[in-house]
Amino acid sequence: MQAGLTVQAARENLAVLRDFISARLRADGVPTSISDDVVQAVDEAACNIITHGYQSQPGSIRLELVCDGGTITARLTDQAPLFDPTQLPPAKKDRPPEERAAGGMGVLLMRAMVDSISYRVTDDGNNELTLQKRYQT
Amino acid sequence: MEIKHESLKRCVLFTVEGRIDSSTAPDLQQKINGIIDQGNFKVVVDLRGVDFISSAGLWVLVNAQKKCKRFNRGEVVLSGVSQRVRDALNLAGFIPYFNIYDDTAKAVGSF
Repeated sequence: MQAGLTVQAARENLAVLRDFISARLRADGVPTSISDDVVQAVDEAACNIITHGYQSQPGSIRLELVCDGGTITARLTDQAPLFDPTQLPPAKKDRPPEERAAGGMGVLLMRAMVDSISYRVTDDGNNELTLQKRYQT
Repeated sequence: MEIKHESLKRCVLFTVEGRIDSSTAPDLQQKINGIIDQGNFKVVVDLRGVDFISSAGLWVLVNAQKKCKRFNRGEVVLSGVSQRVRDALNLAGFIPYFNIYDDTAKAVGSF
């Protein structure tokens, strides 16, 4: 299965991305527990693009979803100023909430939900974030 | 996302339905803060109808907890937490900061 979707970079569209992923992976027979993890990771990744990449300015986010042989790949591309979320420090999980700065939690959840996350700058100079999750077929 | 709240004898019960993401979390934060700012520091949040919570939603719960705990016996307790929401709380390291009840009546009765 290969599918794609482009949305405006707005928080209201996070639900559109989530619903798209859920529907496509369900149709492909992916277990709900697995697809929910991908949904959560992409939600956090897209939210970071909107907040840190576009800094809430207008823009778009392209999602490419591939499910092949027990590996789900979700690739997010955007034209925001170059921003590598994999370099964001994850939240310090072991510290009490009072001692934690807001933010960083999205990166922590994203990393926990998928098996790998990689970032690169495309030949066109866009941000490309690739999340992969493997599962038993 | 739908948010209802009800003032009970010893606490305020919030019932949340839908998905708490960074689009809807500010609404939840505003409503909970509004109730806390009125002097209600004992809060139950029934999450039975919540099937998705992002980091933004987790922060709303934690910030509400921080606010309530500043006051004597103030607390936010959770009920009806689905496995999905529990997993998110756990991965974030927030489980120790909440008393979680399966049953909303027991959560209300804890105050």
